[in-house]
Amino acid sequence: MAEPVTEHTQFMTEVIAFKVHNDEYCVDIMSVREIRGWTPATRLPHAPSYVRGVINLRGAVLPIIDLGARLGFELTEPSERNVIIVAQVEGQLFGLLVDAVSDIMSIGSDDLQPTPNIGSDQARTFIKNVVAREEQMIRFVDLKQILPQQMAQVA
Amino acid sequence: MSDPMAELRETFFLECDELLEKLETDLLALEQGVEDEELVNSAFRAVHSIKGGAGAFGMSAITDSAHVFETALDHVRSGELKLDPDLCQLFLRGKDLLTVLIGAENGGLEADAAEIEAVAKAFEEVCPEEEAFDPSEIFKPVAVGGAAEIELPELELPALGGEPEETAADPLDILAQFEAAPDEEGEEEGEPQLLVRFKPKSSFFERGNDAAPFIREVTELSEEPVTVEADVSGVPGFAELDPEAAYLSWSLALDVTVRPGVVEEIFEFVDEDCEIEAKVGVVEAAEAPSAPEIEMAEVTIALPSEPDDEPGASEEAGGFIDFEAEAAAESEPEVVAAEAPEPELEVKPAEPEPAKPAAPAPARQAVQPKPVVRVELARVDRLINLVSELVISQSMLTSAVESHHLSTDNRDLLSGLDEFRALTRELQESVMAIRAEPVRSMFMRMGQIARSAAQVCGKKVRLVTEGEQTEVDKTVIERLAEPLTHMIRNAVDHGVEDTEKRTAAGKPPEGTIKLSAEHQSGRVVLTVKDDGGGVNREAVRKKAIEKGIIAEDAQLADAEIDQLLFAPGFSTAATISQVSGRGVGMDVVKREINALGGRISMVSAPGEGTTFTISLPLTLAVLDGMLINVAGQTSVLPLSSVAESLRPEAEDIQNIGGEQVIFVRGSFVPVLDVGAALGYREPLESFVGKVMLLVENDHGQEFAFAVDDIVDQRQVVIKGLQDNYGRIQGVAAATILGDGQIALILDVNDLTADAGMVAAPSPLAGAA
Repeated sequence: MAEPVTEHTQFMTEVIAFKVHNDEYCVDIMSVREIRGWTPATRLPHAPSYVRGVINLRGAVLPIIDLGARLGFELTEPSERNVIIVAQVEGQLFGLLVDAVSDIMSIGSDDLQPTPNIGSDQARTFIKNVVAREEQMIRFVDLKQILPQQMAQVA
Repeated sequence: MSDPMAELRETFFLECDELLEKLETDLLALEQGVEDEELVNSAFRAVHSIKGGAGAFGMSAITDSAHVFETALDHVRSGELKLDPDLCQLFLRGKDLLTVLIGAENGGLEADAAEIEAVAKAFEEVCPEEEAFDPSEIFKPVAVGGAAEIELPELELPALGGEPEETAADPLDILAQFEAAPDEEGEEEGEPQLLVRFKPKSSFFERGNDAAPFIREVTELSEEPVTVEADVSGVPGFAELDPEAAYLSWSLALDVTVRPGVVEEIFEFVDEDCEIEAKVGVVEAAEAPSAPEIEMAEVTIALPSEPDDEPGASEEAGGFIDFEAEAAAESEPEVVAAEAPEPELEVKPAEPEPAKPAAPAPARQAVQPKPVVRVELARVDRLINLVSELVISQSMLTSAVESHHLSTDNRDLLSGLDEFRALTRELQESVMAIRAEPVRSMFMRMGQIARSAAQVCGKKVRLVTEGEQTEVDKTVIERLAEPLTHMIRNAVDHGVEDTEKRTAAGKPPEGTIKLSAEHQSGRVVLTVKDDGGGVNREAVRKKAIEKGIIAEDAQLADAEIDQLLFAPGFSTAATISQVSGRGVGMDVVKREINALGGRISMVSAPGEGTTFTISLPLTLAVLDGMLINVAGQTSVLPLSSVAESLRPEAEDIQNIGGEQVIFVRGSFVPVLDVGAALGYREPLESFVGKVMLLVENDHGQEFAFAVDDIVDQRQVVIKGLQDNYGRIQGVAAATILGDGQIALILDVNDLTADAGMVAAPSPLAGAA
């Protein structure tokens, strides 16, 4: 899944970094439409457990994906401190339930490293790159991949 | 849209839609035997505009077909051709062909080369002498007798002014007409006339327009002989001459009874590409200074001031410009002034009251289109969305006020809130009305479908429409087109018998399919009724057994056999014909209709025909719903499917093979545990204390939906779930409640579809 790293020209990517289960993740800021607080979602029948339901985003029906649960952790117990990152990928609008937004930073393409060849399929599917920063690893989330199959077909 | 050409094309296709619709209306009126010259003229104009536009975009297939069509229409105009039913049919065929060709250019439809040729040939055959478009020929009948003396300074030069090939002949023709035109200037000196000055710009020719037909059309307005003068003074010397530029202008003097607005209407489609001026004055070299001048009618876009001013007017597009009234109001008093010196002259527009302008062309006056603004649908949708939001925030505000007990001691607040609610509601309704449009355009498309289907089947079929003005939400209309197309094709192919059979049965050889629409208690009801042989129940039954849809020994009532037509994979035609039988059957039609929140039913009488009835909600945007509580989630059931609610006692519920049924007035109804069906919780052990809602699905099967509680009944705004999530089993859509929460709207058919296998109250359950 890893994209080749170009060595000649350094592209800068603005990302929003956030925390899920005390780990740092980030997504391309160009995909992020807004960030809002958690509001109780309406459950969807027959949906995978990481689809927490739908909320009303100014008249639009916004599906909420529990990123932690999607990545294999247990379901997040959402409280008012949780945050929804509203993202749009290929016309598809959805919300990511995360613990907290930590930073906006810019990452050079040289900083992007391929996801280490680890055993977890889930990790390799959903994390397209990792970034080393200040002794920390930031995982670059592939938004397109984390949508459930059903939603991906809609988009 | 960054490409200006693409934008122009878009506009052209939009205009074509309108023109084709207009054309069809005119042709159908002519077919009905309405004798009105204006109809022919109007049809001609429509075809001509299409031809012109298509020419500009280099769509030669359209231009060619429009050309032969136009020529034939012109022969009718000139009286060389007599309009008879056959010719009307040919015209309609020509129109259908144009529709297909335009559709092909716009992407989607496929044009049939054989049909193009056949139509072209048919047109050529009806046209008396020449087959090629020759403006000079058409001109002859127009030319008026009388001696004329007109100076023709440079005969050849004007030809260079216009576009090389096409317009080359025009000035000559016009000049030729000059010779024939009577010179009445002498006798009528000083008499006011309507002076028209027409100066095409080069863009006029670039778009494939031709000056001659326009001039001819203007000359035809006048009852008196017309003088036409070409102004060649603008033509530069040969060295400076740009072969692609337009240098010529023409002046026409019509009798004063012709109103400027009518003249401008002729140039409506090209008004950006030419200068056109129509004013009353005296035709004199040194235009009598005293002659009152009338300003060119101002082009104004008049919007209806009242929002409820017939929203359906939007269909009458084409004319966004309504200068008629204004022009009349402005010009008339001055016309009077102009006549003052000659009191004996009786001129119609002399009537002083501007409210009732004299109409030289009453027919045209009658069909004057209502002013219209063309708006992108997406903008309307956005508006509708915003208004729904407003409705929600209004109800949130109301509940907030109530929860703080502010309203009890504050009358102003209370009445203010009431007014706010009323206004919001009214605003919502008005906004919804914007999207409503008459079903007319769709009905017309169906006319075309029926004609082409009849042609393929070799049957004589006539489609009669009724209630074309019935208004339905545009989104409903769009999604209805496909199922309706299929039903019309079916009616032609399977419904109406062939001519021999009809004659043998003592019926008129021509079959009739009646398509009608009307409003009935908040829904729109569409019917497709044919006068054919009715459903051949024996054949249907045999086929159903063959296909394994029913058991061989199944005892079915007539109505149940008819229902088999809606069963998946069923098609009665023995051979797969080009018309229907494309693998989609009535089951698809039914599914489509159901998806729109509608129902379809049919009645068939042997030998008399079949009637399909579709009942649809007026809009896809709102729904009367019952709010229920299931496992802590608020959901909505469409009120139309809920028959009654009850609280069962323990002894009312019985167990059959692990399934629960409830005893309601003498019959057992299967219980559906909604919470479990949606996967919200484990199936309930006991339904005591729960609420049972008696619900009927589209197959007429009854179920008792077990829910925790009934919350409310109200109208909810439907929000699609599909766009951002996709389809969910058992859920039709979503809505937003007063507190801003989303509630799912349950799909009764979907929920009962699984249960139906078990419950199976009728032999059709498996099939339907």
